[in-house]
Amino acid sequence: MSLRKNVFITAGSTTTFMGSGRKEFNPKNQRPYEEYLKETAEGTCSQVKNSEFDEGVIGSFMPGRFLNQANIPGFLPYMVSSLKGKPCTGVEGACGTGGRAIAMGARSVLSDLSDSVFVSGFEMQNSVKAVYGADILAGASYYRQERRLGYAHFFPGVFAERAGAYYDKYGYDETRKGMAKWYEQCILNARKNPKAQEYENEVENLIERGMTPPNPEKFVPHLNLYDCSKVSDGAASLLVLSEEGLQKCGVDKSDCIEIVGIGEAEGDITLKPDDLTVLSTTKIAVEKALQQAGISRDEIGVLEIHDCFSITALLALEAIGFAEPGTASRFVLEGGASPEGKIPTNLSGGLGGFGHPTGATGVRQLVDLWMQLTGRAPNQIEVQKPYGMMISMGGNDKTVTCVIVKRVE
Amino acid sequence: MELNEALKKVAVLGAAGKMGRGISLLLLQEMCRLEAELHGDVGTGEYSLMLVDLDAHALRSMRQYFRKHLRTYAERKINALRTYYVDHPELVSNGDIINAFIEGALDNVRLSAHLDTARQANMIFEAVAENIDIKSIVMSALTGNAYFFSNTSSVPIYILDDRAELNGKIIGFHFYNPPPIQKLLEIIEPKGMVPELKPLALELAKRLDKTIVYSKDVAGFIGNGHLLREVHYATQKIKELPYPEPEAIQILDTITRDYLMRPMGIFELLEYVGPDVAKEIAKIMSAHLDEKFTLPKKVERAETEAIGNLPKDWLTWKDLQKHPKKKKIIEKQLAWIMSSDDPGAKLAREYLQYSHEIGEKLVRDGVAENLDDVSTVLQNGFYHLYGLDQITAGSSS
Repeated sequence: MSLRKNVFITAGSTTTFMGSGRKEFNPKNQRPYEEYLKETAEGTCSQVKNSEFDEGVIGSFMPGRFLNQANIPGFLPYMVSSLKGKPCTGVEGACGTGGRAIAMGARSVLSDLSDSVFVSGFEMQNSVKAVYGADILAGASYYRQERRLGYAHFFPGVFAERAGAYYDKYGYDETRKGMAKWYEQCILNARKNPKAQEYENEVENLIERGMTPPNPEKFVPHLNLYDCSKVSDGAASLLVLSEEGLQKCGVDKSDCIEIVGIGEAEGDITLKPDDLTVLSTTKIAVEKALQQAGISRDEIGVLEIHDCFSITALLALEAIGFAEPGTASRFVLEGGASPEGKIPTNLSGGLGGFGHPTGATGVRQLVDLWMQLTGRAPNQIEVQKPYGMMISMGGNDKTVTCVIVKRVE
Repeated sequence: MELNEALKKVAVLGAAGKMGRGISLLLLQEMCRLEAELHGDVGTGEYSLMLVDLDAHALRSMRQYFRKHLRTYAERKINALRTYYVDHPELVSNGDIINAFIEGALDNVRLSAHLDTARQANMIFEAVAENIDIKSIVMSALTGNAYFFSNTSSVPIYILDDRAELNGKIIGFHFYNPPPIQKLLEIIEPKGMVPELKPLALELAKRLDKTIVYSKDVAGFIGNGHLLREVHYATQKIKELPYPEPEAIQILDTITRDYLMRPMGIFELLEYVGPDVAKEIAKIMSAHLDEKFTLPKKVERAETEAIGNLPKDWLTWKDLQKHPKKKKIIEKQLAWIMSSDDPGAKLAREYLQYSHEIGEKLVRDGVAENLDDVSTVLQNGFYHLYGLDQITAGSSS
């Protein structure tokens, strides 16, 4: 069933995604999180004539643990003063938080409750050392059952199991090369995005680095450090508007993209995946979104996927259907996901290159699609087809949102 | 005795001093890692580290010191710790396991101002003042079954063995400051050492992840054998230079730090070691070697312009230590020192040549087996960026 009314996205904004790799990052003197919130909100508000919004949604995964701060909706009026006295809601779906925040904003517009929703996502993870951050992020799994016997580096361990299963099923050599190529692509794209965490990465031989043998004694089996997105801080925001919302905020349609499909799917967090080599919840979310949009995947011209690990990128390309099972490595190695390829993917650098402040990522992904489809992206390509797709994934393929957008003609 | 057994009861004498606390931390880490690996827990009562020092206040502060550094250690070893603690269902997160390790480790520590506390130890590490009488007296009070590991940097081990009547149960085990960070360990086997001590010491050095260099049992060994001769040379040079002493000291520090790309000037290093300690070492070496070791009476510096100019693109030790093209730049800068007419370069050249001669003497006298060993000490113990072989390479280019 298609959406009952038009839903527009505009005024995207992101902060620099901060963490190791950025020269200005100093773990002992970190930027206060309030500054990220203010900066992204100002970035969004400065792009509209009237910033009197009807509603606010903010996504953040674990601020209660990283920052000892809960009741996050209370920061929305701090970010945008017009939200004082308005409905403000916090959303959490682990690393898929951003996708769900967007869906929540779209629902309000679709149900005629609001014409303009300010949607934001943020996370600050460098507030604790990575060894303790791993414990916090493990909350995206079924903690009581999985944490104790999991790896010290918990989520790398979870996806290392998927990588190991994939090697066993489809062969190690080509998969490994495809993962290294993915790392190279992340960094090359990030170098064209000044706000990306890896913008300043100067490593000459990225493939060699991507091929670093995994060291299970110090890290996890099957994955090396370069297969993993880094610990990041940052925030992103945008507006979800109805036709009336466009009028009220003084936004021109040419500055917008339109949501045409939202596929939301949930996997049972208490259950292990049936098949480690398949992202089955992602598959469902993608099918739902395509169905709602009434398009085929071949009409997608630009893609933002949730590549928290290089293996996840390969699995996502297969779940969407851009590569047959077991062939995503070859697809990537042949340049299928490159800026000139069949489906330009993660031109932002993705999670591996732009960074992954968990609660902010989904919103940042849509901001990047908005920039690509409205000709504003720092790493702009000529998008050959009118549609863009993003996948926001929480936990081990549990909380997944697929959003399909199109250029406004 | 096997190392694992020996590690159950260990003592450190002079534990609260600069070297003693670092050595204590290293030993505690290894004892507790072993305990966790073998027993799946730490603080079981089977392992104890007895720390003896007369300074009660400094001794008490060690718990805080341990708490801080054990946390860093446990964080680094988290993968292994998770496997060791697998039978503890109550320990779930990395944080739970790290805290359990730290608390268990602190339970293994005994602090005492009395030597008697160390009597039950299998291995006794001495890090007391650099003084033959003090070292001999404390060790002689504890003779028995224990093996002694002396951290002396200058006293011949055979003398300590004789004076304390240890019957060959002593080995030189010389850490560099700070022991938890410095990779270098000089090992000195005295004449008549009991044979079982060597494998024990080597296995321990390996477990502590140290780079071993063997030195002959000669006063000062390789490290101070080189350093004190350089200090002596620099002290003589102060007198030769036509400037007031504070200016000459400043010149020598600049030459040895900036021109030679070292972390500190020679007199800065002397201050870091501690003037009293250095004096004691010089006294010991002068007494046991047919050579004089002088130090400046006091180290005072004054600004001076009486030195040449380094090239504009010159990189110092700080710039170079993690520089990706370090090797090439050092070669280029050494070649400049060896060929330039700059007055500073001339002084640096003479200094380097003398430094090389000291290395050759140490090899000639059998203190070091070869020049590479001397270089290993200089590069690991003193953070030099290049070895002695590169000095000669620089002079030929």
